[in-house]
Amino acid sequence: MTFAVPPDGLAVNQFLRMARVEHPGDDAPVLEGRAPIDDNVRSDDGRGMRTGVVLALVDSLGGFTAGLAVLPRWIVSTSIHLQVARVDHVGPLRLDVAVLRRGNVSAVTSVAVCDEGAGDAHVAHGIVTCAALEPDQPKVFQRPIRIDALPAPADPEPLESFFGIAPLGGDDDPRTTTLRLDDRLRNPWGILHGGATSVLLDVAAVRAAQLARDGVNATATDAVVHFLSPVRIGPVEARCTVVGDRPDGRLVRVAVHDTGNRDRLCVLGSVVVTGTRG
Amino acid sequence: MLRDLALEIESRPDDSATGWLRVTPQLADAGGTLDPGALAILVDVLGGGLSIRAVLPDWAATADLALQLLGTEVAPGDTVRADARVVRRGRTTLVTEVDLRRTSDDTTLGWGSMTFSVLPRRADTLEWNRDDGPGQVTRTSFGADGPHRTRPLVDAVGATVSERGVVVLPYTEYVRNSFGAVQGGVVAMLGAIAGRSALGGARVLDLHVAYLAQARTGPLVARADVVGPGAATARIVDTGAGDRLTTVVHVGSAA
Repeated sequence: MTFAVPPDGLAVNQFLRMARVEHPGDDAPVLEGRAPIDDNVRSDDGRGMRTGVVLALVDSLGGFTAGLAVLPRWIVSTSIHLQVARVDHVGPLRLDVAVLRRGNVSAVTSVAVCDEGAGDAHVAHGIVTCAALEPDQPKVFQRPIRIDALPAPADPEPLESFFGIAPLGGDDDPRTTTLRLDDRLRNPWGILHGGATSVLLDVAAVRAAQLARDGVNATATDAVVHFLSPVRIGPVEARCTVVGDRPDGRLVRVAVHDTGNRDRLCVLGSVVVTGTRG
Repeated sequence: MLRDLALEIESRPDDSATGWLRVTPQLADAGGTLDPGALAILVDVLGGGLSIRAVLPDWAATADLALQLLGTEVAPGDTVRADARVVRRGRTTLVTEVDLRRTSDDTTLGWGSMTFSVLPRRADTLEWNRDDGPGQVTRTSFGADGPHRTRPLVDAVGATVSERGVVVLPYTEYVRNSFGAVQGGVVAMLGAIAGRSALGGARVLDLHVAYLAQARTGPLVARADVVGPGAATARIVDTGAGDRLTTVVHVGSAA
C-alpha cells in the first residue's frame, strides 16, 4: 500500500501540538506532555479542550510511553478508559504518564491530565492498555525524549475539517457520523490514527445524544474505547445508540465500522454526553 | 459466593451468553441501592465463562472491565438480566460487551465491556468440563433453590471500611476464582466500596477497572482518593505480596 502522505502520524501529532519530555525514572520510562488549548480544539461552547482531543492526547502519550517501556518491541493501543473531572480549562494541559504494568504481550499506563493554567487542577485520568508487537524496523529514539511542540499554524484548520468528519445523512440522522480516511490521518502502521478515532467518538456521540439546543451545550465526558481491529480503507462510520439517560447526562454506545473493508467493526466504545446551560 | 448469589447463566454456541441475578435486600450497598459490585460480579462471571468457551482449550483472564450504569433502581424481588457477546476474538485478547436490563419491564440499566487476556494452555491449565456438544445451549444454575444470602454481600465477602476511602478484604475461599486469586468482580466491588466511601457515600455509576496482577495472598487493601467532582481513583494492593499493586479502579458517581 502506498500513501500520498507518509504515514508517520506526524500530521495528527502536529494538529495536537503536544510537547513531550522524558524525566529520569528508576526503571520504567516517565513521560510528561504539554498541549495548548488552541481555538480549533475547543469544545463547541469554548469552555475548554474538547474531550475527544483530551482522549487523543491520552492515547498518544500513554501509548508512546508504553512503547518505550517494551522496546525493542513497539505497541498498538487496545483499550482506553477515560474519566473526566472537569470540562472548563484555562490551559495548557499537562499530562503525566506512569507505567503500571509491562509484560510480554501487553503494557498498561496511567495518564493524569491537569490544567496548568488553573493551578494544576485535575482534569482527567486515563488508563491506556496496549498490545506489544514486533515492528518491521526496530524503533530508535534519542533518550531522554524531548519533542518540542510545533508552533501554532497561522490559520488553524477546524477540527472536523482536519479529521474529515461529517454527518452521514445531515441533521435527519444524528446517529451516524462519517470520517473520510485521508492518508494524513494514518499512523506509522498505516492505519487510522488513534487520535482521529478519539475525536470521531466525541463528535459522533455528542451528535447522537441530541442534548444541544437553545441555551444548552453538549459536551462529551467519560469514555471507554476498545480498538478491535485496524481501520485500513474507509470511509469510516461511527454508528451510535443511545443507551439511556443518567443523572449526569446521556450514555451513548459508539460502534465504528470500516465500510471499505467489509463493514468491519473496528472500534467499540461508550461516551457520556453532558448537557449544561451556557 | 456464586451459589449464594444464585446466578443463572445460559451459554450459546454463537459466542453469546445471558446471566440473571435475582435482587434481594442483601445486595444493597451502604446507600440502600443495588450494589454496583454485585453487577460487576455478574458481568465478570458471565464474560469470563463466555471468553473461556471462546478460546478453549486455552484459558482467559480479565484484563479490564468497564461498567457504566444509568442509576435506575432495581427493587428486591426483581431480576437483573445481562446479555453478553464476543465482539472481537484475537490471538492474545478477546473483547466482550454486555447489556444490562431489569427483567420486570425490560428497562435498560447500563452497558459494560471487558477485555480478556488469552492464556495459552499449559500443563496446569484447568480442564473445562463441558457436557454440552457443538451447537448446544447450556444453562447453569449456581444455587438451584434460590439465593442463600442471609448476610449483606459486603459482609459475606468480608470487606470492611477501616477509614474513609480505605477498605480491607481478607483472602478467603469464598472470594477465590479458578486461578486461586480473588475473583475479578469482587476486586471491582472492593474498588467501588472504597470509591464510594471516599466520595462521601455518593451513588456509584461508573467502574473502570484495570487488572494488573492477580491477588493471591491478601489481605487486599483498596485506597481511594477523590480526584475531582464525583470522581475517585482506587488503588488496590496485595499486602501479603509486598503491597503489590494489583488493580486500579476509576469510580464515578452521581455527584
